[in-house]
Amino acid sequence: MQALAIEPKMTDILITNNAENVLLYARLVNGFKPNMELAVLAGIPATFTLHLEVYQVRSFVWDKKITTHEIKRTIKYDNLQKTFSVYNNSNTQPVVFSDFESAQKAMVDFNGIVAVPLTSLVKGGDYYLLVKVKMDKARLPLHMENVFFFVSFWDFETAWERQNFSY
Amino acid sequence: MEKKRKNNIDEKELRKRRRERIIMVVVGVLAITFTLIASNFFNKNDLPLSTNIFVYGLTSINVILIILLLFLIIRNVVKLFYEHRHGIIGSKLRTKLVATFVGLSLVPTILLFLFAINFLSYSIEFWFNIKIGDALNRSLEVAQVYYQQMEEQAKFNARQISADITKNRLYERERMEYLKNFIGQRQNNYKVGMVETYFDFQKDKIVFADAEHPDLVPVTLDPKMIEDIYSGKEKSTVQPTNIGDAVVGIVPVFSYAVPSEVIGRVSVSYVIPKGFVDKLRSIANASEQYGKIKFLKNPIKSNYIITLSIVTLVIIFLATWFGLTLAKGITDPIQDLVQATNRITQGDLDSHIDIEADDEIGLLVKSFNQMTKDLKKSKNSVEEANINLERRRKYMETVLRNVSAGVISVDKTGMITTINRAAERMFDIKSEKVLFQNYRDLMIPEHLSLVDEFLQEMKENNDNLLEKQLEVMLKDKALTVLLTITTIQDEEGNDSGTVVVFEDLTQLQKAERAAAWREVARRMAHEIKNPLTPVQLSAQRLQRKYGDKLGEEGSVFKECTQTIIDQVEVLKNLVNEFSRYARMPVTSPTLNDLNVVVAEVVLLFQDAHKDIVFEFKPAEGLPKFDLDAEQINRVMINLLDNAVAAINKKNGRIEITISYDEQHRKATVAVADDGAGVPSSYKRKVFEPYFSTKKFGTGLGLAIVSSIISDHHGQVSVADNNPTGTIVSFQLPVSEV
Repeated sequence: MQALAIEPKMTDILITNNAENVLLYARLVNGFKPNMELAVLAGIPATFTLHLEVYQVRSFVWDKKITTHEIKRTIKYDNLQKTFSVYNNSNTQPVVFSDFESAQKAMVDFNGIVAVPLTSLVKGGDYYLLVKVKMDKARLPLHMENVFFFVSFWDFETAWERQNFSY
Repeated sequence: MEKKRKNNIDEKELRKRRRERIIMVVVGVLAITFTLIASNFFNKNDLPLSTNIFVYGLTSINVILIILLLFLIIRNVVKLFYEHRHGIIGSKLRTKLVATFVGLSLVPTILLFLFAINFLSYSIEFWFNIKIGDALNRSLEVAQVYYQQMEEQAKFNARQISADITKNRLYERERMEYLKNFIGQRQNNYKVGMVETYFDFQKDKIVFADAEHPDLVPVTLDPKMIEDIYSGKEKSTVQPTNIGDAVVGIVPVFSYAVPSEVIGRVSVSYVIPKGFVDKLRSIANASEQYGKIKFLKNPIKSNYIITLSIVTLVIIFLATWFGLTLAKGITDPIQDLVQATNRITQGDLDSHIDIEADDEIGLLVKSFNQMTKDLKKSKNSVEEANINLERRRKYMETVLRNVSAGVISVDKTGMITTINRAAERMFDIKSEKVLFQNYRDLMIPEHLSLVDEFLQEMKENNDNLLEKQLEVMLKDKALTVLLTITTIQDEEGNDSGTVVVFEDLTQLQKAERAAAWREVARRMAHEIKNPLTPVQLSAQRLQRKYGDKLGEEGSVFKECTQTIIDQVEVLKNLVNEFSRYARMPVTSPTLNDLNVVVAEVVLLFQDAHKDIVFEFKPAEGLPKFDLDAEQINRVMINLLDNAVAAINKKNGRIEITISYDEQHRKATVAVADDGAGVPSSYKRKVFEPYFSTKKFGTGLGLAIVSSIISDHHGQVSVADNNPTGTIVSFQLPVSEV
């Protein structure tokens, strides 16, 4: 049970909408493990990838996939300035945090993610959204991640979480 | 046989190759399947699919190969262990070779492994030496402190400027000119770079450019920072620019009237030149790299150890495999050689080893094959010689068997080694009963002493050849033999045994005797018969002339002359008999039936002697053949006469049996009586003239029989009847018509 408790998982999943899009709010818990924190502080970048898929529920045939997204977030520690830069979807301009806690929060909080434009949905339709977060394999110096056949790092993958919604 | 064996081997080899091909295909399919599965399900990084397939392909092939290698080696080692336990040929050498190879490879490999592990551990520890880490950390700290100090410096100067602005209320619009002079003065005094002021009532901020870096772009603050400043906090930030890093210190400007009210902000920038920033960055990078690698120290170490262990295992496996292969290469030909030798030992000289090799083993195999070939050639020659010898031996045996003289050979121990058919017949013995037995155990004492005498004589004469004529009685047969004893000596003069040749002279002697007796009879008849008639006539004349004149004494005279006349008559008869014997007519054989000839005589005797039972058994299937019926008639009369005379009692029984040996084409007539019989010592003489056991016999009857039968090229013999009596029989050759 304790082992399950420390497994990373998606929580607080909320689906809402603004005028144009269906928005997703979610949080990854237990995403940062102690050894991973040490690795980040040692300068190893860590990347979370949010996988998001939206399906339309259909009665007699299989459900129709409306859209699929991937959002990457990478945290990188600058040891000279003692700041944490969080890059969103390979954006070259990072958000810089002076403390690790804020940076971690920025990494695990997925707020207002555009799931699907409302135009893609049909009024009165039933839909559901699948979401999971996968931690990419650590990028090690000298591409050593390709050499380490036998050493497992902190890479993980949460289970798919399903959230139903109607339009 | 060899071809069949070869075919078996080929079939075995083909099956093995087919199996290997199947294994290879299965391994290949497994490798491809594993690669596809791995690349589909474990594609966790962003490498392209082709690279993934390549990497996983290599990995899976390696894993499968290692498993296969492990399997093959374990299989071979188990097989070797099994062979060693069951003592299969070549397994000992193979075990030794494999053990040597594994030992030879194991020691340096283990040593190298341990050394490598130690070296690696030492090197890794050395890389992460605490001094190096410390130095890097200190350098980083220096860099960090430098940045901090620059930030503090910027904030301090900004604070000073902010305080002066508040104190002198320079934020007021009408004092703007004074503010500009003041900041310019402070820029000069504090050697600060760019200074920016922003007051709430202003639309834009006022920028006082850095004299040294006029191109420096003003700082863009994020909302959170601005929010912090307006809450009274001092902030600093570092902004990278083209000319280096701009260290910016931002402080709030408070109102003179309400000191807690923030009415604006002042930021002071210092530029750290790019060259210096790069140096600091390289320090930071080095430290970061070090930190990363230090973090990976244990995984790297574990990975290296695992990799080294695998390489070591692979080397050991390869060494074992190589040892097994090499041992197989050496022991297989030896095994083949041993098997071929065993086959040769069992007589299979067609064994050939099919191994093509240029090394010494190949030479050995070639020599072995050549030796086998030579051996086969020699064997064939010996066999041919043996066949010739055997043929000669058989020829000699045939000659020996068919030779008329009896031949018996004994070895130096006295064991009978050869006995031919003539000897068997002569002595009425069976070779299988006497062969390989000592002659001393077989002979009766009388004959044995005779042999000893001869041997002694030879020894005394120092001669290896002795010829003797002997008359011996064997059972009921009298034989005259010419004995030739020859001692055999080998090339070195050693005694190798004795050969005894017996020549049966019985018939020859009989014929000679008969001829001699005929001559005697002829002369006697001639010499005696002539004076007999005058004697008889003279006696008759005397009887006639003086018989009546002598009166009473005349009866004596008459009696005497009559006796002379009678005895002369007897003598005349005797002489006539002798004369008849001497003047036996020449045999004139014509085609006759022996059964009929004999039957006629038997019938005559049956009529004459009613008190004797004559039993006649004619021969069945006896063909007519050339014989002189008159003479055979006479023979039968003599024989039956003798038989009747021998019975000398009432209710006697005479059996006349004719038998026919179709194979040897011989007819035998036997006349058996149940009379008194003939003593053994007389048997040899019964066929000689003037030998009779009868009171009034002339002794010529059996002599005439013998003579007639000899003329017919037959043989006469006499034997004892059982329980009493005599069997006189004659044998005639049945000539083909």
